[in-house]
Amino acid sequence: MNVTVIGIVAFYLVICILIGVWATRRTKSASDFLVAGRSLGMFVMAIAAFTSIQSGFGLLGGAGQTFTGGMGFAAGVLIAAPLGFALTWFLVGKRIWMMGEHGDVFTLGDVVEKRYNSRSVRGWLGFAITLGVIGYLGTQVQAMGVIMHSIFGVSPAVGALIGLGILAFYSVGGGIIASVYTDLFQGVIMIVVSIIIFFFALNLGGGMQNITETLQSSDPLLASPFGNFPLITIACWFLLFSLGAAGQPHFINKFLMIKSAKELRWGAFTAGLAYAITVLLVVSIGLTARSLQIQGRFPEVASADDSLVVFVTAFTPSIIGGLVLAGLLAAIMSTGSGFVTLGAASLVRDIPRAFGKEVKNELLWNRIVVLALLVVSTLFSFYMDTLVALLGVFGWGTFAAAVFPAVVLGLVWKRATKQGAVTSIILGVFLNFTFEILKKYGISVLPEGVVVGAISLVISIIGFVLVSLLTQTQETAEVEQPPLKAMEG
Amino acid sequence: MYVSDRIMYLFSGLIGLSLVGMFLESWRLILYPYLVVIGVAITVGMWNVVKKRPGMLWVPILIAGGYLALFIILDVITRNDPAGGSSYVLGMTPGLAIYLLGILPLAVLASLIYALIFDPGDVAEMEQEFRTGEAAE
Repeated sequence: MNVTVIGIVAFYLVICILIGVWATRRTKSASDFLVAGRSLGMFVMAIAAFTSIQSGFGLLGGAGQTFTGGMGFAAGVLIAAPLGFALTWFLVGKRIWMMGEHGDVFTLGDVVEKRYNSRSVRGWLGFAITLGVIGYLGTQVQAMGVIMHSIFGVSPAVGALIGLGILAFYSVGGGIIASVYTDLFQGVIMIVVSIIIFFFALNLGGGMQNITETLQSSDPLLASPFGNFPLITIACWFLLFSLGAAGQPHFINKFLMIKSAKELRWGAFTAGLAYAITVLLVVSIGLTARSLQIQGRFPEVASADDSLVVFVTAFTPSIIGGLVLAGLLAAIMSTGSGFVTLGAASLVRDIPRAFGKEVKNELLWNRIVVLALLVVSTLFSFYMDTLVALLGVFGWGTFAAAVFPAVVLGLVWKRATKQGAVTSIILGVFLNFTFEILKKYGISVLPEGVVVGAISLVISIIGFVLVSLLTQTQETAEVEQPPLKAMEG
Repeated sequence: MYVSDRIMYLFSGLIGLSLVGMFLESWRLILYPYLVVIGVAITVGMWNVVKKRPGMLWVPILIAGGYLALFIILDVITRNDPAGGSSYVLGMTPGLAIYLLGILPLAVLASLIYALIFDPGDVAEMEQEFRTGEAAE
């Protein structure tokens, strides 16, 4: 990799460290560490929400899938996600913010305990989130190693350690304040890079029509909106990645961090527009790279996921390549930092409180647990590949199925009960894990093309409603007045 | 004013239809009920406003109706030809153009509508209630 690219990425990493130092000085309490002292303005929160949803999976994986099979992945996943921002703001924006106003509410566990007046719902939610966080972190560590290897030429293990060291530096000291402000910096990089690359890629491919005609000459499906992907998979993705966005804990917990409800107003638009702009990067690189490959002008790639990195290193000026790779690293690190703080909150606050124990000096323990989570996920990713892969499936689908009914529907429907909430959390975790493990070992129990996360989400929703209806009795009377007020929206 | 049971049953019923679609391997039976779910979810989200001003139902109707219209057009034009026709719209096949110039921007438009109908007065009242503890009384 040339000096310009290395210089830009190194500069980006130094900025992250400086933000970490600044955030550490600002972090003086558990409230600062977990919800940024409820001090965020609209733009910071919205960009942090956008970067928490747009991860390395969306950028690297999205470009790779578009390169291989055309637009199907983008049609199902990437075009659904911006709708997820609108749905989430409509459904729970004001409601979660209002729950946060109810004092000492720093986590989604706090929200559900107040909503259902139940420690068990808090405990189960904390358990589901912790599993998901460990899995997600393991995959982020691996992805970070690959990118650092491409940029600096170090081994993936050393690359992962360098990236993790920086992530640990700003996450341990600055908690969520460091996370959201590095997200802000990282998000702006992603947006700028996406706009530049979109026009650059179209120009390189000879214009959109030339790219389309080249794709059609090889395979007409490549220029269609669905590519080579099964329509049933695209329909499942569309459902999962729009409705399921409202169940992503690293996203919706940011509503607890806003300083005033007025800040909600332009947040969905800002986050949705930012995400839509990054879709242009993925689609333009994926389609242009494939058209160049058809023309015999694109280098061989070992795997489809390499197509984005190969494209920027082989075809763009060094300065753009450096910005894209920094943006990619940004996507991975921003997701990682959000998750590690979320995991610490579950382990230090939600799970102990579910058993009636309160941890003294939460700030110190959150810092210790953030470090421990990073070490554990690194060890897992280095030595327990299979476990990481299994926990990695605890991604979007598990969070959607486990969190959406209990938190989102629970906040809009007065007759939701704690039994319904616990059922949906257990169903969400169990179905995702079971279906994915069976699939991994070649046992197919679902119809061809159906996405595990999507079917788990709909079953979990139906289970939540049915069990709530069956366990009515006095549940609704047990809800305290302020949560009821918040539920009005 | 809490979300009525009937709208939750409608939400669950439509989600149930999507589940049936998954088992019957019918993408239409997954997608079309879900597009109505989008409208129902938005109605649920702005329930307080809709109850006070039923005219505000234009918001979920416009957004869900927009998605339904675009997907039906896409469904029809791609029935015999995956590209949706032999012409080009800004260099894209008609099917791809509907996706990138219609369905993607509609999501951003939905967020824009959220901002435009956001009532600062309602929020100020809400914040005041919480700060003074009226809600707890």
